[in-house]
Amino acid sequence: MKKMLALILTLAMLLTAFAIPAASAEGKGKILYLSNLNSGAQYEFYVAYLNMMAEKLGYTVEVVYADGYNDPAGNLKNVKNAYTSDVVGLIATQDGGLINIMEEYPDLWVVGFFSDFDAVYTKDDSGAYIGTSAGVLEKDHYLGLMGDNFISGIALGEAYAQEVIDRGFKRVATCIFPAYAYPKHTVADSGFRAYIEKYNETAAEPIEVVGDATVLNFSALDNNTYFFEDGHDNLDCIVGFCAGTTFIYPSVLEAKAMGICNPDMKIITGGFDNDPDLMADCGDDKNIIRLTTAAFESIIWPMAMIDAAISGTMYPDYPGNKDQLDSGIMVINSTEKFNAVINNSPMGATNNEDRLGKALASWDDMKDYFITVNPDATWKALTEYCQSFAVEGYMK
Amino acid sequence: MTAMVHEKEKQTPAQWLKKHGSSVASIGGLLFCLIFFTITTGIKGESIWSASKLSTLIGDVIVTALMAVGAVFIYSLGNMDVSIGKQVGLYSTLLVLVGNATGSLLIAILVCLVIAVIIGVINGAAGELLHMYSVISSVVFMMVLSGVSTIIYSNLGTRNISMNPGISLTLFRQPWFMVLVLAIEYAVIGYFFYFTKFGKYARAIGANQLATSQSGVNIILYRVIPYMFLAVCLVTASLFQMGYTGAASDSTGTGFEMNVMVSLILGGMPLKGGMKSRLSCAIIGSLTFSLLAVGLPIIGVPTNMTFIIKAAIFLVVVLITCRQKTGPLPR
Repeated sequence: MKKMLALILTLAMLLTAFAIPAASAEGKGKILYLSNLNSGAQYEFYVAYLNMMAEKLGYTVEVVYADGYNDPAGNLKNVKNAYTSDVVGLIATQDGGLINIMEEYPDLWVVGFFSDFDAVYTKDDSGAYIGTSAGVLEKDHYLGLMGDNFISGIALGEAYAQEVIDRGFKRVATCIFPAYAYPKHTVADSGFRAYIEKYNETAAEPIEVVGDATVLNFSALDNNTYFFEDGHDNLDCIVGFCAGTTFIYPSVLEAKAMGICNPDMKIITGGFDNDPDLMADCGDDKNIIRLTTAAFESIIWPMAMIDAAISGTMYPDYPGNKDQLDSGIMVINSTEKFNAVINNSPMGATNNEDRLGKALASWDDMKDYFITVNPDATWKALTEYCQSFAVEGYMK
Repeated sequence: MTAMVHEKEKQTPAQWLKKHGSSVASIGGLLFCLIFFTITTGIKGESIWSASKLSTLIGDVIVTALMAVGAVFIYSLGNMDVSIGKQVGLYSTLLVLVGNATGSLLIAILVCLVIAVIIGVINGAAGELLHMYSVISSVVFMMVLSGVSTIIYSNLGTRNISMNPGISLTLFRQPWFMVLVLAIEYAVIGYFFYFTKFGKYARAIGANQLATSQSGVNIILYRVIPYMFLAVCLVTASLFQMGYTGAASDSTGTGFEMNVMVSLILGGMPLKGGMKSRLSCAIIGSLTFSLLAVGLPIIGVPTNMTFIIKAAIFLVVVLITCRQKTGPLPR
């Protein structure tokens, strides 16, 4: 009996110890951040940066983990569980169930960030939106989306193709996630091939794109088969439109160790990973020669938008058409740039003070883009500012 | 009889607690959560008993509870079904696809029931017929259904599908209807579990299959029937899972088998099955699990800490309820 009592008291203490004080009654309310990440350098920075901005503006921020698979019911349930009476806004990085969340909480202001939001923006052949959450586009309280680097798959494909051309590679192959899950990858792949084909029309030595894109079904590149397929043993480069740091890089390392692929083969891909071993293998003469990711500081945009909406002072030039917007784009494609990101950006920081100190924009830099701070602020200037962040900023 | 009553009277509180430790821990845990969150959410200016939070709580608990009630039958056999999540995913998908194609939710439910019963029969019989642990056949189904789901969504060219607005799902989002269906399911399954030979034989098989077999019980038949009860419960749960958002995705149901297992353990279900299996474990455990999910964010516990707290509570309950000298794991 004593043991039982001790256990119950311990649990009570544990629960109480983790409870933190309620938000100030004088604050402007709580903003939920539905995060598709739950750890890592990007996650730590986004949370710290949002908290900094929220504090300056009079809000609190609470992180809600999005469903690990973007399941509509999972996202709805997670938001409902975290919802308290003082919640006024939602910054969403996943779109599964977004329409259900907005129907459940019609007064909630919602803005999207760091995702393509295919469930909202997928179109049919006639151009009509047909995604399961497309209904949010009809809602006044949905404020739009600043996506994950290039919104256009074609633009992404062409950017990677130009990198291949600039590097002088002659035999390349591509990897994508399944089209039903990531339609942009398929579009990017076709954009890549079209660009290379056009280049080949005038090139003295054409570039060969070996085979069709390899579809990775959310599992790593299978080096038991991939490098034994025709032409894959002698590639100059693998272009991964999928998350290559996770799904391609480890397999390439193993393949090189086994001697079943070109030892000088390189990887061009997207995303960011702050694993020290992986980052040490990024650079001109390393395995990963290019990473493309959303500019970290672009998260200013959703915060500014939601602050304007909550405060009832929307930007006068806000178009209201809710089109997807490119974020700032980090093209990390040289040793110098990799070093700059590792050493000078928030991604290399170990505490929040350092993270905020290394960000490209401090509160003083960004505050004039918030209409609640500067009545002359415009949506156009805010958007251009958030799209202007680039890796070169860390090199100054 | 007199001797039994006399013996009962002689039982000391310590002996009683030792005998009923599992029930005390599970019910005590639920009561503790209720009292704790009633007080602490009040301090925060919120209330776990507000209409909106009760609705959230019921919405959170319903699918897990519906599945867990059916799963009690399986766990009482000493078995475990790890294909539960993938089954719910498939049925949710089929409800949308067949519902949209036929314009009738009833036809979609019937299609799901037929498939669920077939899977249940194979799942229940395979272990005994092929002389392997029953969990193995459920692992096979988990993988097969995962593949089927991938094929379906690949062919559809999307990760999410939604029900045609012409089919109203409003009823499945009403808390009163959720409670009503759960109560009916509990009553029906409870009747079969406690008052018919289906439940008694299932528990007897869990307690001692050899003795049960030598008593003339058809082991295959009484192993299959619990899976058919589970099949009906899973289709019911899928209705609410899909009805919650009116949509299904390639990931619907992922991890649900773990939710069921955690809920049953939190509810005090003996993993070995047998005569001590109780249907109430499903409700107590699901409610405790959901109370933590709903209550912790209200009192300001950061999301990343909620997992640690849930794990700590789970560990404590397991230490109290599940320690066995031999063979604690289901087969």
